[in-house]
Amino acid sequence: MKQTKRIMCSGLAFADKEDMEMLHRYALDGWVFKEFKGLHYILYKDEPQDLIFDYDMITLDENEKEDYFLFFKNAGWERIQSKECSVYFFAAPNGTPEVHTDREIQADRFRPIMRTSVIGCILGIIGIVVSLQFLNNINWALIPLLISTMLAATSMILTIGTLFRIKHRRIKIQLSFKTSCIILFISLITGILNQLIDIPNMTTLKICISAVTGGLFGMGIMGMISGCRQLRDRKSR
Amino acid sequence: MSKQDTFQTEQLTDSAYYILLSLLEERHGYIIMKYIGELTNGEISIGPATLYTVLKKMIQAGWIEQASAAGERTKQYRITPKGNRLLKNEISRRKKMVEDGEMVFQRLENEEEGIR
Repeated sequence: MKQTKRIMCSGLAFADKEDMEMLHRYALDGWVFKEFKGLHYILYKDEPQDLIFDYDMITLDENEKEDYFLFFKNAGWERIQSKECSVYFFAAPNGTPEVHTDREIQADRFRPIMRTSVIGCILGIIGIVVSLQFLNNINWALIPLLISTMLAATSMILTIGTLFRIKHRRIKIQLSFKTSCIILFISLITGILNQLIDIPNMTTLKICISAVTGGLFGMGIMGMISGCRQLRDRKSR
Repeated sequence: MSKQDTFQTEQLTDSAYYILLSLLEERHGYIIMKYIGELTNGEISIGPATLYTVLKKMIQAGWIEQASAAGERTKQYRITPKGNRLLKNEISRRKKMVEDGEMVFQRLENEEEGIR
């Protein structure tokens, strides 16, 4: 029997509470979250344990880390191995008081991520505009166009998601796995058609269609991630 | 913390108040949580992530300072004169609020007595 499970993180801006609850259920089942690597929770087979999990997002200098972890240790929270900087995960026995007791400060932690995703949006949009300029002359401008669209779409969704979190709200994208696949498929078709059909003087329309394609693509991805998580949750119950 | 940042209005939230109170004596950061829990009989609890951020902000605002001896790996903190003044103002402010409240309740009771 395999000794580890890899589960993809749902995106802490969107489904952190759900992820932490899922990890708790897995721990009760004997699969304990012990490592965070490459945006995945790595669970190890172990004795069933009544553990709860939480996380914090913060940028620390090397000399601040020891003090920081001591705060958590003293409150009952053990640090979980993680290769990511700026996100730290913790485990504690069920019943331990929460790691965050102030909503405003906790919401503020998403601000740096929002700033990065806004930059991603801007870069993506610039990329789209530039690629479209070249598209009429060079055919391989298709690739940068696609990349820019994907970048813009995912950045936009992340920006909106983190913006909501800063205002203490959460976006719930409740698309089923099937629906998201269909949306992704449609976005790919519109994208391809948009490139193949070369109607002169229709640049504005093409830009609009690219934007819609990008949006659908982003929605599709988000829906798939949430759909995967729902499937996973159902399996772990 | 309320929508109006406590670090701007200089009116302390309950958590900030107790953190400053606990630093009238030099303390290690991680001890503060336990101290406040004991002092308030478990009424006020501060999470480690929140406490760490609040301490950082208080240092920036000049209300507390680091007090570690050189070479110590974990940091100790203590209140500054500015923080001390803030705390005393806060106690007066809250005291006045309590007195005002008690006075109004007392007056209403007296009026009721008068009517009877």
